[in-house]
Amino acid sequence: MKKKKKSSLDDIRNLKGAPLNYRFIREVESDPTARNIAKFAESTFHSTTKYRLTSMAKPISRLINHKNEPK
Amino acid sequence: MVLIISQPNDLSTVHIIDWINNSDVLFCRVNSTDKFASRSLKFGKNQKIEWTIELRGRSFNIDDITSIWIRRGEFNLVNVYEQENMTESLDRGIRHHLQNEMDSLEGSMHFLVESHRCLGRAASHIDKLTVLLCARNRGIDIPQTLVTSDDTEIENWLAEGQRIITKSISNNFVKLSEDNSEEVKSWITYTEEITGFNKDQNQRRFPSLIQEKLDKDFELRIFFLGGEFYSMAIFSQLDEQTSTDFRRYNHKNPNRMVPFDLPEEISAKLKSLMEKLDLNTGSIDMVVTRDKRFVFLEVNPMGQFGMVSMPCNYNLEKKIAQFLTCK
Repeated sequence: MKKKKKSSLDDIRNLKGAPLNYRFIREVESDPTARNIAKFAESTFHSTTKYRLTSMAKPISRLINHKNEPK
Repeated sequence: MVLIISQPNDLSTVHIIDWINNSDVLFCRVNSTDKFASRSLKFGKNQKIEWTIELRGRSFNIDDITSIWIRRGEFNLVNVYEQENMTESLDRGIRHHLQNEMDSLEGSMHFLVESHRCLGRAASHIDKLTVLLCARNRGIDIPQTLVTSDDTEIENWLAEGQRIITKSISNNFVKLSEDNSEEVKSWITYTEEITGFNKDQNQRRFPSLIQEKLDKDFELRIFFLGGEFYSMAIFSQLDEQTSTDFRRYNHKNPNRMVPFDLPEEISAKLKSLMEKLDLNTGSIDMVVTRDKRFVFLEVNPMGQFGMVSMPCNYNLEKKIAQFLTCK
């Protein structure tokens, strides 16, 4: 089977017949703080079901200084 | 037990769990990467429905669920062939039929679970164009809209002096870069103004959504929960980076965001729209133009509420948790 070509940003912008908004695709200008929090959340919650006994919510609450953190 | 359908990296889910943890109610968080197995579904003689489902080796009955929050994603039922990694070895016709069987079972599961106390609906429930039509039918102002595969129509619109934007018909196109650099970058399509348009010669285009560019005074992000609207005005129009799409956030100089009281007339029409769409929650995007039109853009059944809750001090995380724990 023919291997699919990986697209670059320019490939997407110049794709013939594509939806018009593809011309304007951009790289996300991300907020480093938000990105770090998201990474932390992802690593903490990557797997599975969490029952309350194993909740991992509090460390993240501290990270973002959540004022209403439950006791 | 509160069942939460979410994604692994969704921070808003964590905040709700913080509040649920503060009550005596148990919760079960299921991420989009997790799969249920349906063990037994029985419509018995006594009108009782018994459905045993299994997740990560733990079984529970559908009756164990007192309320459900569909934050992100949908149920994914796994079958015996998937569990044994045998799907690829099956005949294509068999695979297709088995997939239909699972889809049908997942549909039943959605129906049964959503008949409980349920907040949110699956994203596939509605689409942007249908919602615009429903809004217009309720007397809500919507932008002039064109979906076309003919570039000439776009040229003609621009030639009339109309400023126009383009955006996705469904969700934004988001893609992770595939170059070999260490840091993975995200690429995304925002709402963009079309200027200096050159049409593709002799080429039909994939249907593209074009709308009039509204002369904004400010934008509104409105979160709907339990029949109430929690609205926030976003002053995005004076920053070139955010003027067409505030989601192109300016982190160095963020847009000012303040609580906003919706006019009663707009509020009543939006409530009627949410009833028609059978949504008990969602994030509504509107624009207030310089000539004071309240123009509806879209509703996202799974929209972000943290960005409204925090700047406006609405404490929506607590309210959602109270809804789910029946407080």
